[in-house]
Amino acid sequence: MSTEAPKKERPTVPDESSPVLSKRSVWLTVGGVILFAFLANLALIPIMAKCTPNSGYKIVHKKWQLLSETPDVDIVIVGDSSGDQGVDPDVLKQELGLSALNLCTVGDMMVLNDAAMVEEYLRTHTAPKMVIDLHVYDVWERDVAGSALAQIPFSVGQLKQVTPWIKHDFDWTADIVTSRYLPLYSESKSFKQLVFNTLTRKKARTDEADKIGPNGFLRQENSDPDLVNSDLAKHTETLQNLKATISDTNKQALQRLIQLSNEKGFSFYLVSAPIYQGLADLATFQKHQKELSAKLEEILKPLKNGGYLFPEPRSFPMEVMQNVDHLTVTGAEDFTKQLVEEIRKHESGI
Amino acid sequence: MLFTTVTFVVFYLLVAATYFALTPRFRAQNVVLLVASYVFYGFWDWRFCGILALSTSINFICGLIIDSSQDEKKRKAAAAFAIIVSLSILGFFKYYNFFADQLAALLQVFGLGGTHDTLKIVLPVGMSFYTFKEISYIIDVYKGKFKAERNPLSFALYVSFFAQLVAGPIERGSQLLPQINAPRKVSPLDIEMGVFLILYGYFLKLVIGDNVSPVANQVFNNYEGYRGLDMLLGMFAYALQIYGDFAGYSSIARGIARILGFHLPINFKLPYFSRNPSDFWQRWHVTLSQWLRDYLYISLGGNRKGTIRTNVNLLLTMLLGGFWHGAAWNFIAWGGYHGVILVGHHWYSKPEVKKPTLPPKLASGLSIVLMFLFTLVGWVLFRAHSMDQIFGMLSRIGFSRSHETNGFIKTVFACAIPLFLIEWYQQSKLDLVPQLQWKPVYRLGAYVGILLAIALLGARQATEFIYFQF
Repeated sequence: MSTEAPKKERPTVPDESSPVLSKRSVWLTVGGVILFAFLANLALIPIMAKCTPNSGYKIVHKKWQLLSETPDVDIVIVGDSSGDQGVDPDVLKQELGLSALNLCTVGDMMVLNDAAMVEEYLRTHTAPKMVIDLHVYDVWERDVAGSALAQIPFSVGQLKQVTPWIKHDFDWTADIVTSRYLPLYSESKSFKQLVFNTLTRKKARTDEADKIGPNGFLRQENSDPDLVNSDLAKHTETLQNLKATISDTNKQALQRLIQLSNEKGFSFYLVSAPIYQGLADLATFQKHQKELSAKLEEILKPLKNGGYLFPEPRSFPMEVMQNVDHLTVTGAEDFTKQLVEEIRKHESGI
Repeated sequence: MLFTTVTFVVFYLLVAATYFALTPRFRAQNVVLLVASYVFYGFWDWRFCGILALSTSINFICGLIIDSSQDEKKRKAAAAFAIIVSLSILGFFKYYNFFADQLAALLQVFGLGGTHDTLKIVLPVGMSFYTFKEISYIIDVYKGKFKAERNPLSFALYVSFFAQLVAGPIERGSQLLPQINAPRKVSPLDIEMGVFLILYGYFLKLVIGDNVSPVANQVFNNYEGYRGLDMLLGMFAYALQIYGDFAGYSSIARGIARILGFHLPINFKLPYFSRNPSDFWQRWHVTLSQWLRDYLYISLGGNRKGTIRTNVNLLLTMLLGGFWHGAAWNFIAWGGYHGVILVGHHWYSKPEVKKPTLPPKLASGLSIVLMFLFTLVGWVLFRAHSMDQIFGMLSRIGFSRSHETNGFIKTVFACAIPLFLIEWYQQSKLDLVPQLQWKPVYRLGAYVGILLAIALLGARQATEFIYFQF
């Protein structure tokens, strides 16, 4: 607090000058900033769509593209990235004699994206015989993020239709619109990475999305024991406070998938993602999974065809894991065969 | 509705469009601003609007009574009533649980206390700020500094104007009411100043404050897990965080008001370039500092009653200033600490106290560094959760490093260096907007640079402004 009378010496506290500015100069500066912001956004929309360094979004875009370009198949696989590289459609074809398409994306898209994909598939294709939905345990408690929702290639109106349980308030719409049309604001992190990569001429690492084949399967050749261990430490910490809850968004989306299955007559299988043995051995994980499975089985009760597979998730050794819940191609082959066996138990007709 | 959300941007654009469409009918513009202010406030909780309206009505009526009455007793009673009601509302929402806790603790010392229940009271955002605006208005009217406002809408807008409702600047009635009651002329300078203040405010908040906040949060929330140098970096980070956050908010507030033609007072004048505690309070939260000086310190007698009384008045004012920030002992300690260093500085400033002779530039540089260190210690008192933490952190300060020290250094200096360079230039020019003297094309370059810095370097998950809790 100042209590001193102003002294007659050179002031040291700055103030604001008030020069007279011409209208023309203000038009140039303020108009210029607004124009720059507008043009930068406009230019960034196609640039970010094509060159986004966000590999998760790239996978989402690629899978939606596959959905629109691939002809009818017998089995549609949806879910998160664990399924992306965990369920091999070629093995399904070999074992069951049925064509399959892997449309799994990333965890942040949640079950909501699965429901939207199946809706879109049914709208544009003949209904499949089976839908497999695979998720890692920690996806269930997550809630919807506008930036993720914006990656689904639906109009705002269509998104509203497929998410009737979400409060479609102003914030929700603003989130979608800014995510799509204001990349300077919404994708600043990706934009920053893109600029950094360009300036340092850093070669972008091999993109995961580039490893996706025409059947949607992401081939991960090598295991990564260091990553598995560090990932296990993170999961161990997460599990300390993680409650076995299912977010409204995931719950409602799952109910929608059940409804579609019952209406269209395809089998629906909810599958727990394959995990590393070290995680499966944790007492905290076992407790969490038991509670989660009970809740999921309760939601699945109205389902007529299909069921919940691997309420106790299948576990695998370090040698076939890329991280704690992502398999290498060898592990994927093994897991897919186990999945087929389990499905056969349910579907004697196939 | 935070200034950093898309919702606010859309809200502001709609309000501004409606506002300018009504030019030159300033009374109609005032209605738009008043409605917008209540909508803005209601976004937090619509019930807050009721408290705001009640408080506004009481102060408006009391102002009229004070102004229209010749009876000194009646005038005094009306002023006292308004101030007591305003402070009671603030006291209930902000301090009830604090005093209840202290009373219970005191009774327990004497073996009288049992358990007691605290009430679940939510402090309406901005209440501390608008209460001080109302009190200054009542006192100024009582002292005859200006006439009471006769138009209830104008007075309601003075109290609730959305630009400054939740975290200041604490504007005086004598400054804002004349602007409300006259047509606003928006000059080209107002537009450019407004745009600059908004951009620079977002820069301070998102690029400086929010980026450095993880370091401050990590160290302050788990100080026992860190080492000597981390303590210093955590303190430094918090100094940047709270400055970026609050100065950023004030800048945005002034910018959005300026575009509408309102001139709000400057709240921050490069506080980390202060050379002594007195200088600091001419630069940090200037409107609160001036409020405390005019309505508390001077009312207590100021410096008119001798040295001892002056020092007591200073300490008391600063203690209450600290308490204004929140109902906790650490805020009181922070206020008391600043009171003590102000008293110390007053003593040191006396001509009879011998001072070392140093070259002026060196003396100036050293005093800035010293005052910054004093300020850092103050921020520990302000941010800590307990007295144990305050002593724990201060006693740990040193140069030992942890495995996170390097990361902390990078983050803190990546934020501090650009801020220092900008402010050093402003300080050297003694102008907070030195770019206005530049050619338009250079100004454009500067603004685009700030915009790009926000887009590329700004934290995306903006946190709520720290001062909203006060």
